[in-house]
Amino acid sequence: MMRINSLHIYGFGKWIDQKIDFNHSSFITIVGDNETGKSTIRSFILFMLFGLSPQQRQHFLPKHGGQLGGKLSIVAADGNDYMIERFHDRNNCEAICYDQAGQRLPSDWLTNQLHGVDRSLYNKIFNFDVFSLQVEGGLSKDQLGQVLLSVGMTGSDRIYQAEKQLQTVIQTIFRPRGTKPELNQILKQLIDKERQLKQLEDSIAIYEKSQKQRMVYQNQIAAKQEELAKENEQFVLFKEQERIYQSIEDYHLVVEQLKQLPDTVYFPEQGEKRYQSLKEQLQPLQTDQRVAAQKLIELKEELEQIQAQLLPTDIRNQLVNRLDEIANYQSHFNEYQQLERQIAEKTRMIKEGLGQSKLNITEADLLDLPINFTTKEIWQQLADQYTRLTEQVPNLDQSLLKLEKNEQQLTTKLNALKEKTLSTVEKNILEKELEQMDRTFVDSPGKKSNPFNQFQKKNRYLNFISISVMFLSLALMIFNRQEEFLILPFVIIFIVGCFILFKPIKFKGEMIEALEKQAEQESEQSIKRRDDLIRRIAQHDENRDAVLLIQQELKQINIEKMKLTEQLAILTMENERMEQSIYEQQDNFSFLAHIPVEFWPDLAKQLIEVIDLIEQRQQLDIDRDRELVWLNSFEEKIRANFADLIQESQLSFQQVLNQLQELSIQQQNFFVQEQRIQQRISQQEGIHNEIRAKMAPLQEEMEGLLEKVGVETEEQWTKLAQQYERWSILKEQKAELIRQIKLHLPDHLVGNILAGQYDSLSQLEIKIKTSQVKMTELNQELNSLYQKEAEQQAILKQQEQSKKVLNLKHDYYFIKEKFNEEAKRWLTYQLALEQIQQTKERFQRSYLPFVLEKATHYLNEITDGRYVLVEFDQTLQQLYLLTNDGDAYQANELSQGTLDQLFVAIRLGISSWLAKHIQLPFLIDDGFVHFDSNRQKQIYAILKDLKDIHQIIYFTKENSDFVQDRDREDQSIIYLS
Amino acid sequence: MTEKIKFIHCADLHLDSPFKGMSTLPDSLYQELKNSTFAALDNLVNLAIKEQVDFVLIVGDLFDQSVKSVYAEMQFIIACQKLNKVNIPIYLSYGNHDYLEARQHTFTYPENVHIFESDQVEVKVFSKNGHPLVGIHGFSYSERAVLDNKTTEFQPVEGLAYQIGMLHGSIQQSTEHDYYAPFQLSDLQTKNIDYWALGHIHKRAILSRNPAIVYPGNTQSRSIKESGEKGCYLVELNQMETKLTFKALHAIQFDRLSVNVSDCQQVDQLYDLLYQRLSSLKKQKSIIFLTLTGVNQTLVSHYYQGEIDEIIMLLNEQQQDQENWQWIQAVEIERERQVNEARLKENDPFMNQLLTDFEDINWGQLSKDLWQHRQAKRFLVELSEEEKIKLVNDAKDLALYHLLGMNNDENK
Repeated sequence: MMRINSLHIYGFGKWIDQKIDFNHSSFITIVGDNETGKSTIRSFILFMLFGLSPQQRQHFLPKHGGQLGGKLSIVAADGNDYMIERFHDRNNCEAICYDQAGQRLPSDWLTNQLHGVDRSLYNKIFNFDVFSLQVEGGLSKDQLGQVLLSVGMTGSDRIYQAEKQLQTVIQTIFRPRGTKPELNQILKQLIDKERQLKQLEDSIAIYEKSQKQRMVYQNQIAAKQEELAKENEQFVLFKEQERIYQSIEDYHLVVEQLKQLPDTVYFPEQGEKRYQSLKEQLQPLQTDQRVAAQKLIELKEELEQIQAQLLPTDIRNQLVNRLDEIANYQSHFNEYQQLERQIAEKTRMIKEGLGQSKLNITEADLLDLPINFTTKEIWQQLADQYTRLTEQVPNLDQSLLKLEKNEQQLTTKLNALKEKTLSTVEKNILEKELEQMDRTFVDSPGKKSNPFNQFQKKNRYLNFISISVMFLSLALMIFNRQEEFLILPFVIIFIVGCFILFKPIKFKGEMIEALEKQAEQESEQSIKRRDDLIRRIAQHDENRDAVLLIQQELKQINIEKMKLTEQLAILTMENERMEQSIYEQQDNFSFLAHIPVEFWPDLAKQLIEVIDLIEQRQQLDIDRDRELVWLNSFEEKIRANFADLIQESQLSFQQVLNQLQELSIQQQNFFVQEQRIQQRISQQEGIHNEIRAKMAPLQEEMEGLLEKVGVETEEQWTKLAQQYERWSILKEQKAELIRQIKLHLPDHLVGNILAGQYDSLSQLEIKIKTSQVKMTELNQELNSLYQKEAEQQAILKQQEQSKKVLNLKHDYYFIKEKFNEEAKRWLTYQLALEQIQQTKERFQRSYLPFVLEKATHYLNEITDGRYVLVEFDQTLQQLYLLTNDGDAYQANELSQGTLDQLFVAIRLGISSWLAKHIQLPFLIDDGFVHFDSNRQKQIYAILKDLKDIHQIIYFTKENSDFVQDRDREDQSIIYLS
Repeated sequence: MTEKIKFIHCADLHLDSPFKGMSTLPDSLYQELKNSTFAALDNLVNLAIKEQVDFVLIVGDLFDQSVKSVYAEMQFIIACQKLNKVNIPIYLSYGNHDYLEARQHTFTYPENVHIFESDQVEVKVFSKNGHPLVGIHGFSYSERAVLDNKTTEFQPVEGLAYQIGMLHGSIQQSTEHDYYAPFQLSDLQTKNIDYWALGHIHKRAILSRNPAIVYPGNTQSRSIKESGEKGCYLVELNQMETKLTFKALHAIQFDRLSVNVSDCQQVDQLYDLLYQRLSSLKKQKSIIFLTLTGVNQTLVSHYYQGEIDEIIMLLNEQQQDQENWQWIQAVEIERERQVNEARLKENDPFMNQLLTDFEDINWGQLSKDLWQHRQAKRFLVELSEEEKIKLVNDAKDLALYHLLGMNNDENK
């Protein structure tokens, strides 16, 4: 028996932290007026045992805040204490159970303790109030059965739910006449696959059939191929016969032709060929031989002609030898002509030279003149001297005249100056006067130096001129050393220069002294007189200076005059010597008398040149004469030697020579020709012989061939050869034709053909056409068979490679397997459902009597013996009651009070039956409040008895009978305020 | 010294066999799965070439006879051609699944394929380097069942270094149900055969070492019943010993995975746990049948509300594009049924009645709507006892979930 010991409400509805102890009592009465929280405690106990859905829990959240939850202390069926705790917000509000030691128990512990009784079942049996006494929905057997089924862990709902669910699943798995359920669909597939498989299950047989069919086709093909091959063979034979028909005809023609010829014809092997070959070889040789003979004749004729024109060898040799000298002659002749031309040239030049000399002398005169190289030199010197003297003497004369003229002028000028010049005394007086005058005065140095300086200046000019003249003369001397006669004047000039140079030096001292004196005199003039004196003295000085200068010049002129005179004297002497020489020359060469000396050198040159020319010409004349002698000698020799050959005596020698030369060349040519022809004749003879040597064996062999066949002429030979050739050709043709026929036709046919038994061309054509038609037919048949065979092959291949059967087989078995699996599943569900239904029926059938018996017992007690039986009316399927009067009442005939009592009785009956399995506390909330007092007592008595099996927790009001009976054992009363 | 031999022993290739228990798979993976038996065949060929074996033994059930497919035949021919190129002979016998093959001659195999066509044991001699070396004995099924013990027909040939017996069959269990060439282990052990190449049983097993009596298992799993690696044995035989090396050939592995989820209160925790467990598995293409153990009430509730399926869907979605995908094909929860039921019976009269009623089921009545359905019945397989037990348990769980599974607490 499960018993609640105490409650500890942490918070539930109006209750906060409320502890209620049942004091191990089995019958607890909880007393309280309305709104004191009785129902809440009942709900709390139910919450602790079965929990509440979250929505329902909302109703019981503590009104004044705090945690929803509590603790229930129980004594389980095993007699041990346990604790059940629940929190609204902990462990998903599931019960947390602990054993005595406080160890937490498995989550399903409570479910097990309740033996699967859920709130619904509990409510139906153990929890009731005045409003829930009745079994809802009447009292049919099923309804009552439901109640009974509800007794136990299963609960009728579960059973019905289970039935329903299982039925649903079963319906989805299979329906005997359905189409949609799984098994029905699989069955459909399976039937389909089975059908397909049946079609293919003989795949091997089909394959075999295909194979056999293929073999049939193959056999047919083979047969047809054989037939075709035969036909083709026949066709080929016809075709071949047609093709070689000409050969067959030819063969028979050849045979006919051969019949006309001897059976055998003797003829050397390759005779005609050999003969013809020899002939062919001989023919060109013969032609060559003819040509060679002809050539020989021609050459000999030609030789004769040449030889007729050819001079005797000695004459020819002589001619050649002489003519060899002609070149020499020509050389001499050319030399001769050359000399002639040179002589003429020289003569012309001599004449020209003589003409140019205008001397009117002949060559002989010239040659007589004692002219030589010295002459020319002498003449040259004379001419030069003459020229020089002629130039120098007038110049000197002119210079002399000029000097004399200057001298005259200077003398005149001097005289005039001398008249103006003071006498020395006058001057001295003046100077003394001036000196006196100047004594008071300091002499000015400028006055002294001035005339001196002027003098020095003049002196320097003179010196410069003198040095220049000296250098000039010196230079001329140096450059005219070759012409010695010119050196003299320059020497003179040099000397004069030197004189001019040294004279002033000497004169200078004197001049300085005079000047110093003059200065001293001038300084002595008085101031008054001084100016006059100075002027007069200055005039005087000036005049005197001029006099001195002129005197100096006169002196110089005298010197020059002397020099010139001297030079003139020298030149005159020289001139005299020259004239002497000229006379001498003019003596020797009279023509010079009319020729100025200066032309003499040229004349000498001309004359010498002419003399040279004459001498050269003379030498040329000698040479020419020598050549002429040789030429004449040669001509004479030639003319003498070849008088016979010279056709015309009037011809010039040159023409003769040309003629002979031509003749010689001609003869030479003839000779060469003769030689060449002879050589060619010799060669030609060699060729001719060679050809003949080649011809000989050929001719012999040809003759031999003729001998062999016993003929003598070529005609006979040719005739025989032709016969033989014809015979041979025919023989060969025959053999070739046989070969051809044999090559293309089989032996048996060949035999017939050769024997003359063969089809004509038209017959063959007919046969060919027939054969062609047949072959075409056969080919068509074959193609058709090939096609069929290929198709069969493809079918076989397809069958071999096809996984269709395999797949279908697998699929079939797969589906079949699936079908069986599903069928088993269906059967499982079916079994489960069947068993539940069956059990349900049995259960109802087995346990209802017990429950009704118990219910009868309790109703009897409650009604105090009024009702004696609670039973089912099997016909009406309704509960009925039997009173102690024997009256029967259907449930629907009973008063509400009696019905309530009946249901209490049934509940108690069920609980009694259920107590075999589980003993749970009854929670009764004034369930019997509308029972009359007596019946309440009866109920109370029943419950008191029942408390030993089920703990009774009774909720009631203060004035309840249950409260009034206070002295009851093992009972506790709890008052709520 | 006698030359040693090296060969591959495989059986039960079931080349075009359908897969079982595969009712959900995305198309791409489904395509791979369909091709997996052929991929395994490719792997076999590659292994033979790589190992340069002397020959390959295929001991029955090369094909699945349910529906014959030309494609499968051609794939096998192509494989044979590859081996022919490297001169590796194939010795082939047919079993209970492909017995019809022995009769038909539709397909021409390459010359390296040696077929035991007779239902009587024949001997084919394998020569190496021109010398006869191995006598290979075998027979093919001519009917679906071979009831006789064929071991008596295996007679070693004199003068050969090795004798190999190819036997597609199973150990005799009882006289009534042995349809597949039943034999006793002792029958084989007493024969003078060096190596017994067995076939038919898809789970590989070495029944004996001396002489070696070996089931190589099938090469590719076809359902969760054939979980784990699948392949063949590479056998190296000499006069002294028989060396057996298992070589995996499967393209896709079927695996069972059991995960204790007792620490998971919520689905997100479950998701993390499953993700970790899957990540820790070997990376290979695998189809996983997941069992959750230690499932609490909350998860059970999630399970029935389809939330665990959603997690699985999420995990699968992540795998779908992976090269080595791991696809969770099914998920089951395992609970302490006995304890729960006892308590329920005790506490709840209805449950007591219900669970009691589960012990008496009228299957015929229950299933008639479907199993007697005019169209459906031919596709449905009669349920085995095992399946019935599972179905009852599932139905119980389902009923209980619907009756009790939801939380009684009102708080929700």
